Amino acid sequence: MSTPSGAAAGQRKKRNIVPYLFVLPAFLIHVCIVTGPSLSTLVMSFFEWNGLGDAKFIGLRNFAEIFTTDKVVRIALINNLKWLAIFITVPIILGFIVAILVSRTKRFQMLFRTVYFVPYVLSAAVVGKIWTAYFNPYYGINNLFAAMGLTGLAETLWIGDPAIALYSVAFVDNWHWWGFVMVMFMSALQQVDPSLYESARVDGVNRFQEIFYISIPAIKQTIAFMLIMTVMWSFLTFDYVYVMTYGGPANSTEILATWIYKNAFVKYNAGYANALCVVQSVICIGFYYLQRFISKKGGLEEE
Amino acid sequence: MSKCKRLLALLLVSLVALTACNSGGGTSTPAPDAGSSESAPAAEGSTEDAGTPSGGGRTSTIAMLSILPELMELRATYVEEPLKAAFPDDTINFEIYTDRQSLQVQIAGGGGPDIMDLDGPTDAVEFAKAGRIVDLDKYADQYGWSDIFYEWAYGTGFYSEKLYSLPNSFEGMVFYYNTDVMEANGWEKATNAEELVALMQKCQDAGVIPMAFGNSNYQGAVDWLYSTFTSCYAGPEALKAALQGTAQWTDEPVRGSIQQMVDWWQAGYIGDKKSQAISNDDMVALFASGKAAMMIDGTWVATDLINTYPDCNWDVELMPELRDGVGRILPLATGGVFAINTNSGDHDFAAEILNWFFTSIDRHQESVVDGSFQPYPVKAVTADFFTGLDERLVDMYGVLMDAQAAGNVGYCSWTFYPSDARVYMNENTDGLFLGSLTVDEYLTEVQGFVDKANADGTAPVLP
Repeated sequence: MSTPSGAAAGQRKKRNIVPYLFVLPAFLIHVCIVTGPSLSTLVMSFFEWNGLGDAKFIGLRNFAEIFTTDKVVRIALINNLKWLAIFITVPIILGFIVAILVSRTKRFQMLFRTVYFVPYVLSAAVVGKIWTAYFNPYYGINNLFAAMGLTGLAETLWIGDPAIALYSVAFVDNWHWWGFVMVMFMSALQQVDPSLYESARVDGVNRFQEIFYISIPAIKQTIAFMLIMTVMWSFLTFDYVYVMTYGGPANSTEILATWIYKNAFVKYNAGYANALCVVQSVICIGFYYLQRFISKKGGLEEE
Repeated sequence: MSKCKRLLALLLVSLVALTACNSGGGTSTPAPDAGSSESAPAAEGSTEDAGTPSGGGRTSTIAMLSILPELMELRATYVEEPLKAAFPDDTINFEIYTDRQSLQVQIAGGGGPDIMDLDGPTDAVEFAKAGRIVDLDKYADQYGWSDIFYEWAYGTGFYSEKLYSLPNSFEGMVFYYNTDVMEANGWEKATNAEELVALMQKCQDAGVIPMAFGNSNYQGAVDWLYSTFTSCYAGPEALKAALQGTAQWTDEPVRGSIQQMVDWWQAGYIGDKKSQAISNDDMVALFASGKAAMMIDGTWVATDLINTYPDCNWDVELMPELRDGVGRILPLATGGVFAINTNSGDHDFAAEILNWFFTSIDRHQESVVDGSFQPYPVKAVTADFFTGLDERLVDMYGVLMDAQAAGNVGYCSWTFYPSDARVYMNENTDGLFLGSLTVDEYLTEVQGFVDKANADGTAPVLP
């Protein structure tokens, strides 16, 4: 027979368990489809495995190869860093400026938002194929440049010249991406209390001072979020390079994700691909914390 | 609460362990060979349609690669329906996949179809190494497959002296001429390297691209070029010696064949120095529209030319003799291969179906003539097999059959090169063209991969 205090303790226990029961299904699914495969990736990175048969434990040999003999990894890492530099600046700045401008428009605001956002809803395969056709040296935009007398541009191999192919692909991804950034910033700007702007105007601030002293501080959490996501997406990007150049020409657009794909499915080197995945994840996590540290120091996030 | 936490922790640990085990490599247990040994061979060694098998109630799933949607209907007409009619008491399912990796993942997970359509012998070797496909020696003896296939094609199915796959098409690299362009300019077809260089120079002078080539969508298309140059410049004997490791890739004439390919690309003869900026489709479009006069391409593209560019007039020849004394060579290859999944529950039935494919010759002839399928490399396919096809296709297959009969055949990389060597060449030939890699650096790497394949027994069997 339970005492009254024992019954109360039992009730408390039940109350404590209930929230965990609600979380449990999602947590179990996460464990099965995210945590499990992730751990499996980590484990398989220590094996020589062709992706089909028995795996052979080789310790850290895959990692040694990544850091010593694989020349393409270095190219891919540098390309990922270039990609990060482009995407952490161009779409963020462009998206922010256009969001400010569009938020000030009284008429056709929805039209502008829709037009700028539309490229984002197109699939990477479609956008990649369309721009590959535009970049064709025989019937693409080069003909337009030739008609305008711009000989240098008319002879440019946008995705065929190793010196510029990565930037051409990044341009296309940017074309698709910046509209989304703009809409995110617009949504954040619309949450800013209009009375702040009115008060500031009464105090005689100009438009630029409004942006720097009201708009940016008010949406700093959105800016921080976009920066964090950009950092991670830049190291996980795959689709545009895969569709437009497949890492070529001569590995000039190779990025970590395409190199992982090729190792896993073309070269039957799945163990090595797993090791590359681990390296990619470590880099992403490292950059994530670095970016958070910088954002906090810069006042974009709370300390 | 602490008990609950302990339980939860235990549950999580079990789940993590289970997930890791399931997704790990090499842990799945292949299904036992549960096939019925009672199934009788169907039309053993026959070149006529296979008869209805005995038994019934069996089930088999066949996975086939299909990149083009329009092929689905043709496949249903010329493969699926006749096969189901031949085995009316059994259940045969077709799975169409559009990319190889999904099949690879299925197989690695211990599942997958009974019969697989793989990319070629070099891929089959990887599956055989992993024990994922069945040793077919028993069935080869039972059905007499060694007598059905051309010897050179049959040999490509061997790994470690056992038969693992059967080739389901054969093809070659040929030289296409746009005859409209040639006639309009009064140009003659070339028969040797000297004439070809002169012709290519005339093309450039006239503002015509000598040879169309493009690989922006798939860098690996360079294997059409280096397979052609190594076979036609070095010659089959020298190339065979290099592939078998008895000669060095960095020595002449193999080195010369790669050097000539690079020199011609850098002179603008191949791909107008823009091949990395245009796709395979653009390449064919440039040829068909008359912006290019010639093209090195596979026999498979002839059907595309007829269907997509009906107004284009073209002709096919063997590659001109690239080096004195080598002759005019046809680099030959098998296309895809069929193999039986180790995980299949009924290997015998799967083998019986494979036998039906290669012995239902009337059905196969219809599929080639009416459905534009590629022919099987079987002895029943002779020059008169193609009667009824478009005249240009008949001519092309005539060229292919003649070269095969005369033994003037070379080696395409996707059938005869070691897998790692081919992957390296596919990834790095653009680097040669663009000057980021020297011919010697490139061939030294190739030599390493070839030596390794010969040492570990994964190099394909050469006829």
